[in-house]
Amino acid sequence: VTVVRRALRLLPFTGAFVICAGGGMLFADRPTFQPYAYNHAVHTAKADCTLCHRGARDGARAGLPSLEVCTHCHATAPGSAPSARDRAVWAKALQGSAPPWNRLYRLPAHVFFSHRRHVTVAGVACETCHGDMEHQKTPPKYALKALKMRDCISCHQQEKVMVDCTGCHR
Amino acid sequence: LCGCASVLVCLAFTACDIGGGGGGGPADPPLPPRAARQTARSPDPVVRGALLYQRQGCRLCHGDAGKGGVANANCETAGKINGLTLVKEGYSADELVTKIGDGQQEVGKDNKQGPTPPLRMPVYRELLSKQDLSDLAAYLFSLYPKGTQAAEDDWGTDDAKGEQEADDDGSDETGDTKAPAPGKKPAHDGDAPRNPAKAGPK
Repeated sequence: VTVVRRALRLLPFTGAFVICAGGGMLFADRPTFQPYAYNHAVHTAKADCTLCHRGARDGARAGLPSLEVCTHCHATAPGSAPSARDRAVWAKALQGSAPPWNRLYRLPAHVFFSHRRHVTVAGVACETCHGDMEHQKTPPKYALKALKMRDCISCHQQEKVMVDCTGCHR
Repeated sequence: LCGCASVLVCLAFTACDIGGGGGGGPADPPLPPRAARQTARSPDPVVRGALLYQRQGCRLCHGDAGKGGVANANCETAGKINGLTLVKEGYSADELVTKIGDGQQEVGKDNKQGPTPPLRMPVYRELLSKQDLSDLAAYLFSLYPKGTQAAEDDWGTDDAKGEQEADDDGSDETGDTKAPAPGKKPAHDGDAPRNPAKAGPK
C-alpha cells in the first residue's frame, strides 16, 4: 500500500516528464532528407544560384526547381556515379512525378519575405540567410542558418531600412 | 617555414586548377548581387553577356572564358565539351543567336553503340530574351583570341606561315588557286607580292 501511495504521488511528475519529452521530440527540428544527392558545390562553382532557383532574383519565392530544370542540361541521371536509387528517382520523376525536393528553410506563415526585394533591390547575398549552401556537396539535413527575427531586425537597423511590424508581418 | 609556405601555395594553385574544370585558370567567383546588378545595367553588350555566361551556367560546361574541356562522356567532340573562343570564325552574329537559342538537346555520340552523353545544351530561347541572346553572342565573339586576325594579315612576312597558307588556300605547284568560298575573305590578295619561299618546287 505504501509503495502504491508513493507511486501515485509521483504520477503527476512522471506525467509531466512524459509530456515534455514527447512534445520536445514532436516539435524539435527534424532532419530533412532529399531523395537525390544533389551537389550544390559542383553547380555553384561556376553558375549562379538563380540557374536553378529561378525566382530568387525576380520573384517573392526563390522556388525549388522542378526536374525539368535539371533536364535542360542533364540527359541522363546526374552525377558521376548515380546509384540505383538515384536512377530510379530520375526515371520516376521523368514520368511526371513531382520531383521531389523537400523544403529546408521555412518562415512562419505570418511572415512575408520577398526574395526580389532583398536580392535584387537590396543586394543581399544568398549566404546571408542561407549560410554556406554553395559549398555543400551533399544535401544538408538541417538549415545551415536559423532564420530568426532578431537577425532580420539587426540587418534592417544596420542598413537603415524600416523595421515596422507591418513591413514583414501580414 | 618558407618551404612549408611554398608547398602550401603550390597545393592551393593545384587545387584551383583542378577545380577550374578545364577552364585553364582560376575560376572567377560569382559577382555579389550589388555588383551583378550594376553589371547587368552596363551599356556594353559584352559586359552584360559575360554576366549571362556566368549566371546561365554556360561556364559550367564550356569552361572559364569559353575554353571548354569539361568532360562529357562519349560525346562526339572527343568526350569533352567544345570551347567557344573561335565561334567568330564559324558563325555570324545572327547564326550564333539562333544556335544558342536552339541549344543542343541531342548531342552526337562518339561511339554510336555507347551510352548517351550525360550533358546537353538547354534551349535558351525558352529561358532568355532576344536581347540576352544577342548580348551572349557579343560576349562569345569577344573571346576570339587577340592577335589572331593580325597573324592572318601579315602571313606574307612569315615563311612558315606562308607555306601553311599555301596549303590551306588550295594553291598547287602550277600556281592555280581555288576560288574562296562565298562570303569568305580570300586568304591573300592577288596583287600582293607572293612569298618567295613558295615560288620554288616543294
